[in-house]
Amino acid sequence: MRKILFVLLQFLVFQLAAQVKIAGTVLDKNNEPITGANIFIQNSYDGTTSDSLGNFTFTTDLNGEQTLIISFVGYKTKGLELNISEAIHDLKIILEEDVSELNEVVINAGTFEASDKKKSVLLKPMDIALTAGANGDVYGAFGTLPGTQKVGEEGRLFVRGGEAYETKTFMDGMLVNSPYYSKMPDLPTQGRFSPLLFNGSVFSTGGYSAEYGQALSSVVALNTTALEPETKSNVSVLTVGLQGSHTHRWENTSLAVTGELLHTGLANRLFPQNVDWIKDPVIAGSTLLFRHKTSETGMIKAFGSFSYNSSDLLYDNFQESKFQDLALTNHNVYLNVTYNEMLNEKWMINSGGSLNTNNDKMVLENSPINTLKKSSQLKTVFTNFTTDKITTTFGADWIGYDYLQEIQMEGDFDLGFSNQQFSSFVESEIKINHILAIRAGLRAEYSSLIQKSNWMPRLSAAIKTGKNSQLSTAFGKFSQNPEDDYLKFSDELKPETATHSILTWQYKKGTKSFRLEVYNKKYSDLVKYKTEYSAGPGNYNNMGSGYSRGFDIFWRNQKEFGKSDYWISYSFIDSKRNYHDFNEEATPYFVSAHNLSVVYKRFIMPIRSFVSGTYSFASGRPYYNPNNPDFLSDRTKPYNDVSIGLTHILYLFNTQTVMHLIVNNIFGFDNVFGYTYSNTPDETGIYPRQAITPASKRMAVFLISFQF
Amino acid sequence: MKTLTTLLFTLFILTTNAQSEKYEQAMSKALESLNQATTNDDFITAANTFERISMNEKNEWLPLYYSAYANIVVCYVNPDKEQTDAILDKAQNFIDQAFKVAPKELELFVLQAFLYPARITVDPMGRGVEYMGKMNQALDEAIRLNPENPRSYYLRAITTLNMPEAFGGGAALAKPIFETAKEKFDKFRPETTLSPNWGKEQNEQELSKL
Repeated sequence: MRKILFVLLQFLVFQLAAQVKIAGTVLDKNNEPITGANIFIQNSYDGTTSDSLGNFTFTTDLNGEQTLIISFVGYKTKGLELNISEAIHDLKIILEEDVSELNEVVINAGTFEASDKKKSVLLKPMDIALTAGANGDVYGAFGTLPGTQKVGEEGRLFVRGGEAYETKTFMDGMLVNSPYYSKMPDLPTQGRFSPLLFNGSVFSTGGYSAEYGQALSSVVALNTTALEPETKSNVSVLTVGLQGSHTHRWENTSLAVTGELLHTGLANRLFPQNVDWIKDPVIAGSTLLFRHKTSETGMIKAFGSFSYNSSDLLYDNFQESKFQDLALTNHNVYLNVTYNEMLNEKWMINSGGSLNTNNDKMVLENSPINTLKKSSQLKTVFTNFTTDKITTTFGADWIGYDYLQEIQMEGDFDLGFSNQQFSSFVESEIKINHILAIRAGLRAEYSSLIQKSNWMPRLSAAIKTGKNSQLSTAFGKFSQNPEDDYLKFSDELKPETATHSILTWQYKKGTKSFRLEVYNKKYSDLVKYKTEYSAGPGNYNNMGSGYSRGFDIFWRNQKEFGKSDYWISYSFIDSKRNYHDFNEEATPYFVSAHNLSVVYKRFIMPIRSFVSGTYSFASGRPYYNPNNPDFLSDRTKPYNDVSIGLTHILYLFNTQTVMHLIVNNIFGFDNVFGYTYSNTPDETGIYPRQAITPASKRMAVFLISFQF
Repeated sequence: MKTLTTLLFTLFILTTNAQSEKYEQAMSKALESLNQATTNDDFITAANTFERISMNEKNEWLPLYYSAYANIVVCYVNPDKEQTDAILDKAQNFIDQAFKVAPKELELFVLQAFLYPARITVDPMGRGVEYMGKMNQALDEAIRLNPENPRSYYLRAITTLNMPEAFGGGAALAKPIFETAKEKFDKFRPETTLSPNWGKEQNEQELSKL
């Protein structure tokens, strides 16, 4: 009894007696002192903070084996085993920078990402909405990035010598089959979806992940916002129509509804048109955006878009020397639902489904052409985080596609096909250490129409070449089914193929970023034909081939808010192909050797306005000249455009108001996209031509938007 | 034997008491250093002290609260854009942990609302809309939980003041909110000596400038 008491007492006394001093210095690996580091003994209150010289001193009652913890923001937390019996001086502690928080190696060959969350990105989501000349269009904004070609009469993305159909768009991982509004001949179109829907987007000009298939050249991956932050409404009045939206936020759920009605009648009167509109273009559309947080890490997203557009013009068919009434009406419905959840600490599931119907009704001089495309998709992807060094993703998707075209022109023709596309992929990313990462993937596809399976390996890697720079590379095989316009005539075609090799060097320090990318792309199995629009046997084959090679440069200096922010992108490309009805290899009409964009943005505080300007240049494009025996050897004059955007923010009628003005081609450059030649030569034996030019020289849109 | 049991029991109670006394002492001392802090380093030191306490007191939300608070203040006192996000991630982590201990604690919603505008300083153009929305949501929740808490109004007033008139801010709109905050501060009594009790002086200061 007494013995126990004695022991207890002794214990207490001993505890009181053993106050020990611990002192030392905290440094980084360059021997610079770290100020403000937290130094303490694990599971105790005992500890302190390092001073401006990195020095620290504290006392503790603890003794024996203890762990000293040293932590500081941006550095790896360090644990140090100590045996405390007497005072410890001159501890020298060196903290290692935490690369995951600073500039960890990122595989990014071929990729431009716009995000708020990641440090490695060169673009912010706002950049996409506020780039002058882009008209608030996602694709327009990406068109100012290197690797793209300016093709003014199309409005769609042309990437590295690829045609517009070679770029595919995905929303939250789901395929968007008709991302653009339907287009009239020689007039540009634009994307259906507002850039404000997306808080992160990736534009890949090649070498992309095995998750994406059926895209020969490029992928645009758009990620929608998570829960909307607050309940609000918005009404906008434009010189071309009306837009409105309402967003409601509950605790774990949000719903946003938008609607728009656009009519270009007024604008077409204000800016002289060289198109003879019979009925001015009209767009009516609505979107629904539903989000529900199912758990801390789970989210269900549903998106629906319903749109109608129609226009009617007198088409100047110069080839056949006649004017024709051409009317176009389009109905489009797109729905997708996705579900993401962390199943446990190691497994994540992303799955979803989508439906799309796109119906184009074209009437050419009372002859209707009705094209109906229906697609549906189911997709599931699992991600496994084996360790923090290895991430493996695998998944499968199914796409069902029905195409039907009914033509009543000198008889009734029905052209159509159905296809079931099955794909699966697996991809692993291994971070060998914090300077080297490798990603290897394999994609397999099977098409019921083509009845052929296809294996596509992908490989990419990145290595840090310094604190602020890295080298990244990507290789891979990419394939895509031939376009609907060929598949509807022939079931003997197989997928077209491209192989990409890309090498990228990127430097990013503070506000400045620089990027240089060199690439080589080889095309094979491209569709060739003897006669266009002919269902004759053996007309179509996959004997076409081609190549694209060149380099892209991107420079950006994004100073602080209220100061200037600009980027310059330049691309050089050498691309030729022998496809379609070409008799020899030639540079196709959509490729210009030099493309340059200079984008400038600045918020001017005193006038509370955001100004932006974009200068675009493209060297001459090839066009077919029947008077010249050298195939596609003529070039148009270079393309020049200066566009500006002005955004002024004010408080009007007690609500936040935004006034926005955009002016395209402010200096009125006379741009020529190409020439149309008559099918019949004149009396001197020369085929006369007509220039393809923009619908109007300048274009301006004014918008006033109220938010409440 | 009986004596021994009593003795051990007493000792146990004593130690537990000692433990909670130790907690309160440590907290009071840390609060004092936080209240006297003026420089960046002072706030980091205070934040570190609270962090150390929080690691030993897993069932208390206050040490986490103050550690997050001091870290957020660092971002306002001496903004270093390169560091801000990393420091705020740390503060957010403390707030998240604190919410697990006290899910319905209105002071945590207030603190959350205090953090969001600091995120905006990194990229005003890109983040303004998102984080103002989030801040308003957190403040609405805090006011719903207790309409008498003065800090909710103070934060609303200060952000209104700092926002350009074009965005629905400015002195004229902020003044009545500062006045409401003042009324509430005058009536406010913290639950314990350790409970959050900041903002009164800052509120008076801002009000006197208007």
